[in-house]
Formats: sequence, C-alpha cells, structure tokens
Amino acid sequence: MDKIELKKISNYMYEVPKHGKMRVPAVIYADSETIKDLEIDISKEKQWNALLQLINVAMLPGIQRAAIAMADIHPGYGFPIGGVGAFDFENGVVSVAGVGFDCNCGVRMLRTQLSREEVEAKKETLANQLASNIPAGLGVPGHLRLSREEIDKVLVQGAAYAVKLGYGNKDDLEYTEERGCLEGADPAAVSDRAKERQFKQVGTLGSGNHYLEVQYVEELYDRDAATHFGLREGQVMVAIHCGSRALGHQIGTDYLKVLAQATRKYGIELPDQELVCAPLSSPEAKQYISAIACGVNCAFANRHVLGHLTRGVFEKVFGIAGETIKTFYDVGHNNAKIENHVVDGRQTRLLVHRKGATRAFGPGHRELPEKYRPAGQPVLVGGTMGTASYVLRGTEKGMEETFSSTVHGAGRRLSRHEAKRRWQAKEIIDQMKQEGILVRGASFGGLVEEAPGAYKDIDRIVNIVHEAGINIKVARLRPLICIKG
Amino acid sequence: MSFKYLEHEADVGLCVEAEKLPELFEEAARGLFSLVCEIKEVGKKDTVKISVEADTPEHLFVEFLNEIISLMGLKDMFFRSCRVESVDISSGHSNLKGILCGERIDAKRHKAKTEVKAATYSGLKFEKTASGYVAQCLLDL
Repeated sequence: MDKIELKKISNYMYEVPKHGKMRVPAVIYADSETIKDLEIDISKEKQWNALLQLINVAMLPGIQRAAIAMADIHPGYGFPIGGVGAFDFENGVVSVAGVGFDCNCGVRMLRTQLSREEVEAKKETLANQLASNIPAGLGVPGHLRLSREEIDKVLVQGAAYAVKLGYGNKDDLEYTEERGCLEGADPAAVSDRAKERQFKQVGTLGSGNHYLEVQYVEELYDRDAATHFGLREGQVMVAIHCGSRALGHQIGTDYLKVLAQATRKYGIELPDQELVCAPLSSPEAKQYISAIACGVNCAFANRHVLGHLTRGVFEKVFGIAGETIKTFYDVGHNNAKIENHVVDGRQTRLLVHRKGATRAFGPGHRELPEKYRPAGQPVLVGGTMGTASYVLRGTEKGMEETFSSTVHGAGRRLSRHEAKRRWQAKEIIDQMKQEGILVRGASFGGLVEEAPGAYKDIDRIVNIVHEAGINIKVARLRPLICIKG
Repeated sequence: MSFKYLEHEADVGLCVEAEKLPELFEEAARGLFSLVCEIKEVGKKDTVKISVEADTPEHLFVEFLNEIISLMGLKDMFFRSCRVESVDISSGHSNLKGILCGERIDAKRHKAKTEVKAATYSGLKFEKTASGYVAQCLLDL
C-alpha cells in the first residue's frame, strides 16, 4: 500500500491532499493520537480502514470542498463513521453508504426540573420502571399498533403525527430538528415490506448501541449558552439514542440494489462498491431522497413516542406533572439532507451526507428555535454508558469549514468481539454500580459489546472539536441510569 | 464448510468457505443466525421459503443475507437452519431457492444477541477456489 501523506494544518486539523482520483482533499479533525491510530491501521493494511474510506469518498462525483471526517472517525462501510460529504446538484450523487441502514439515528434529550439528589433517592425504582416501560431489545414490539395508512402518515408528518395520536405535545416539535418533519417525504418511495416491518416498531429503542440514559449535568463550561439552553448544574436530563428501526434498515437494503443498478446505468466509476450512488438529477436519486425523508420522519416519531413514554414513567415515579419535562433538543446523525452552504463565496444548494456526524448550525441560524438562536444549535454527543455525554453548540467556524457538522459520539476503538473477549457482563454491571450508575439491558451480550472500554475517550474527542473551534463545549453530563437496547 | 467473523470496530465481517455452492449459502445463513441469537435454543417447527435473485453471484450472496434479515423481522422469527434447494450462478441471472427453519421469537425462552441491520457490499467477495468457494461481506450491526 502506498504511503498516504497526512499534512498537519493545525493541532486539530489534518489533510490528505488531493491526489490520484480524489476530486477534493480529505480533511480530518483529529489530534496526534487519532492520527497515529489511523496511520497504524494503514500500516497494518486492515481490511476496513477509516482513512482509506474517507479518501474514497473524496473520489465521488460532485463532492464539494473536501471529504470531511470528525474526531470520532472509525471504520464504517463505504463512508467512515464520522464522515461528511456534501454534493452539488449539478454533478453530485446520493449514496446509501453516506446515510447508513439506520436513517436519522440520533439523540433526543429531555430536560427535567429534578435535581440529581431527587433522582438518586428513587434511582432503583426509576431504573426498573424505565426498563419495564421502554420497549427495548431485539424483536421486542412497541406499544403502538399502526395500520398501513397510519404508517404512511408517520412517514409524511413525522413527530407531528405522533402528537396527533396523543403522544407528546407541539412544544416538543419546536425543539426537534426540522420541527420533527422533513419535507419531501413520499411514502410511495418506500416499499410495502419496509412499512410492514415497522407496524409494531414505532416507539421502540432497538438494540446494539441504542440506549436511554438518565443523566445529570456535572459541569457547565459556557454559562451564557447554558442559560439560553435552560441548563444548570445538577439538573437531571434524559438522553434517548435510536433511529428509524426496521423501516430504515429496509429502506437502506432496498436502495442499495437500486443504486447499484444506477451506478452501472450512469457509468459511475467507484473505488469501493459499497459507495454505489446515483446522480442527483436522476429519478433514482430523487426517489431515494424521498425515501430518506420518510426514514428521517419515522425516526423523529420514534424518539418522540419514547420521549412521551419516558415522561409517563417520571410522572409515576416522582408524582410530578409531565409538562415539567421538556424536550431540550432532538437531532439526527445519520442522514442526507438538502441544505444551503457557502461554497467558493456563493450560497449553494447541496445534499449533505452525515454518516455518524451531527448537524451543528451556528448562532443566528433561522432553522433553530428562537430561544437557542443567540447561542447556536445544541449538539448532543453521546458518550459511553460509564463515562460522560456532552452538550456542545454550533459555531460560525463550523458552518464555514464543515458544512455545519461535527462529532456524534466517542467512536469505537475495539470491535464487538474484542469487547466480548475482554469483559463479562457481570463485571461491567458491578463496576458501573460502584460508580453509581444502574444498568438495565435487554441482552447481556449486547451490554458487553457496548462496554465503556470499547470506546475512545469522549473527553479527548470533544476537546478536539472544541479546540478546533467548530463547536464550543457547553455542558458535561454523567449517567445515573442506563437502559441498553 | 465453515464460517468466521472478521474484526471491524463497529460492525462485523462474515466470511464463509464451502466445497459446494448450497453449503456455502447454508453456512452463511448459520453465521448470520448465530450472530442474532443463541441458535441451539431455537426450535425448527416453523418453515419459511426463501427465494432470491441477483445479477451477480456477489450480489446474490448479499441479497440472500438481506432477505433472511427481512424475513426475521416480518415473521418475528429466529431461525436455526437453512436448506438450499437450488442455487444457480452460471448465468448473468443468479438465483437461489431454499427453506429456513425456526420459530416465533419468545423473549422468555430465546437468548437474543445482536440485531443485524443489513448485509452490505463492503468487503464483498465471492470467489471460486481450488477447494470450493469463499464469500464474505460486512454486516451492519
């Protein structure tokens, strides 16, 4: 394998200059340790290699400015995780690999008025109630049974349809990306099979790395932004991490075939066949973008229903009114969305793929809720169940450099099999208990795969994007209860 | 005939070797089932037909795994074994027919392991070797 030149642009930004078939450079927000790890993977000629995946993305037609990877970069399929690719509508493409098989997987965070002490006093009861009321795990159905017509409404109206069904309220929508409903969703672009798989899955957490966590604000870094966001030290929050469930999986599977045919039909040369794609001007791309919007809306509705169920549990356990628990924010990290960004000094309409990367609009953006506009978009960064999560905020610099994108989590450093070789479920549960964190999991195996040690250090990852100036740290949150899917 | 899992930070690669084509697919199915649940706890009382086609043998391999993943969700079933009745990769129109054996998911009795979202084209390989066939792809978890 040829040596790859990795140029240091600043302490937290590196670049692989455009060479060979690359149409743009590859840019990585990273520290020296991350870069060293990426170089080791290259020298070992690992089959799935994040840096090579990023370089491949830089070869796609119509890609603008750079293929970008965030600090939580690790291998994915086609795109690396933490990968961002923005494409113009004249020459660009849409690719399943830039969205993934869990369209609009993301995080919803709820803000309670409870203090850490109040929750500590009833922690065991709360953990047990959440575990029995939040549908989690493989094959576990949700509380809703939707008809075919109702599923179509979820796909078009997203979280707003869940409100019509009596789940949550309109205030929740105000604090959801796209107000919980992405335009352009056409249920006809989604197969009957995808819909059939979703009938019982709206309002389910799923499994794998999905979770519901009760957390408290451990430390505030940016008090002005915290005031805008309504955050204070010791306050209890709830983070819900999940996506579009089986519907999203099936949309990805269906369109992988469609885009494989489109790649041949339009004669697109690819460095990796997982990057199959269709020109944005093609009917195949238009149909897939409509299907993505359906998946995005389904995920918004899913997290919305889970938020409602969570409220119900808090009402019961603490005897408080559900209205005191507000949606703080909801934002996805697996999608492809049409957005305007400045390219070469001009506002340009782009399709921005974010695969394991979070949208992060800076202050003043009109898409943001009015209350948050002076501070910028809250960015919800999920950590690991034993360490911490963060709330960051978007910046002008991020809007200029990264198409308003940033990290989505800590990023894995060990494979799931390696995690199983190293740890036992019981030792993880015991260790977490010692640290004051109660864990409830649908599957012991799944729990071990998500061991905190299998992930990178979240503090280091967040520090990279903070120091690079593409985000500002607002708050660090520590888990109290973790419900794993 | 054997399968092995290939290391990947977030997902898992599935690599299968077999002397004959039907065995290759049957073993791939076993590799998939074993990731999803503890297969020894799954009965064989229910059967589901599987039929897939694709333009290349590589894509047939991915289609086959994705069809199983879809059927698990649609039927709410865990599978234990697969019997391939016919498989043809000789022309530009590869196809396979078979039977999956398993039973409805019973959360109390079955030990669920990992949800597999999809089989991907990443790391995809389908080769004729001196001793038979080898195929692999990355599974998104």
